[in-house]
Amino acid sequence: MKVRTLTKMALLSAAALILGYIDSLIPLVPGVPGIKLGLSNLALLYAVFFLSPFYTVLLMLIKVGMSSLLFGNAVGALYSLAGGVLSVAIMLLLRRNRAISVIPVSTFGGIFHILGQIAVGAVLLGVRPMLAYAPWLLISGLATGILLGVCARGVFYGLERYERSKRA
Amino acid sequence: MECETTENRRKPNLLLMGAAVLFVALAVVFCLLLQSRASGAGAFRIRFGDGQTITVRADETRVIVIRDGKPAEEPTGEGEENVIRIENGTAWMEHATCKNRECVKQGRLNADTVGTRPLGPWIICAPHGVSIEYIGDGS
Repeated sequence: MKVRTLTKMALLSAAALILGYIDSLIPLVPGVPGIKLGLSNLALLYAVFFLSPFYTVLLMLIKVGMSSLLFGNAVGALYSLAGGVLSVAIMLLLRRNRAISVIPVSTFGGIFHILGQIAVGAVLLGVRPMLAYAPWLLISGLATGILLGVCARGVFYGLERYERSKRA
Repeated sequence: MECETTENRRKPNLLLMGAAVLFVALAVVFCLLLQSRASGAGAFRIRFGDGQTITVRADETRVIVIRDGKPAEEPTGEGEENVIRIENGTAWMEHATCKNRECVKQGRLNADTVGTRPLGPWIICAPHGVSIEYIGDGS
């Protein structure tokens, strides 16, 4: 691993952990647990667009492992891992088409993250409670996916301008 | 030429966003159609972490302690513990040792609140795999 990539990975891991912690402090819908902004996915989105698929998957695994160790438990890790694997898979798949921009990639990432969590919930709790839970989660996945996509577009645009000004 | 390129880039993005919204809308409708509707005097179905379930009549007064997925005698506040109280036709999660205690915050479940709660007839503790379902007259 090059020093530049190593530094980027360390920075992104730290950013993902801090954003994940901030995320856990913001309750979005009272009475419905598990609905979050998914701020830490901003780091993953960056990896999808600017790092290789290998480093994206590695970052997802670091994020899931570290946040479960620091702020969660084994069951929480299972939910995060299922969501993380599905969301990274769909984001990398969509990213193969260079015409697809960050907002649809982020939106599908958000929806598939939720689908992974619903699948784990259906196994652990049964399908029927998940039928009550799923509509809230899916709508939140769609909304937060779009919101994060818009944020990421702004961040990427700013980074691009910074890189260009450095080169000039 | 430039407009054509922009249009070519915009089209798959718009199509994907439309597909995402349509997928979520259909999934939500599907879930809402399949959800159970509770009615009648009432009973609660409690699911333990190990998968076993019990049904408790709503007019009973009971405290159910679940530890590490199994029924337990007394609450100790250790391990994966949930304390469910059923009283005057209402059930609620009195105590839980999960991290955010989201299940405790889900409030009280009875015939009056079932239609107004975000999760309808359910109180769910996802980390411990415990749930309470209001099943009306048991159907």
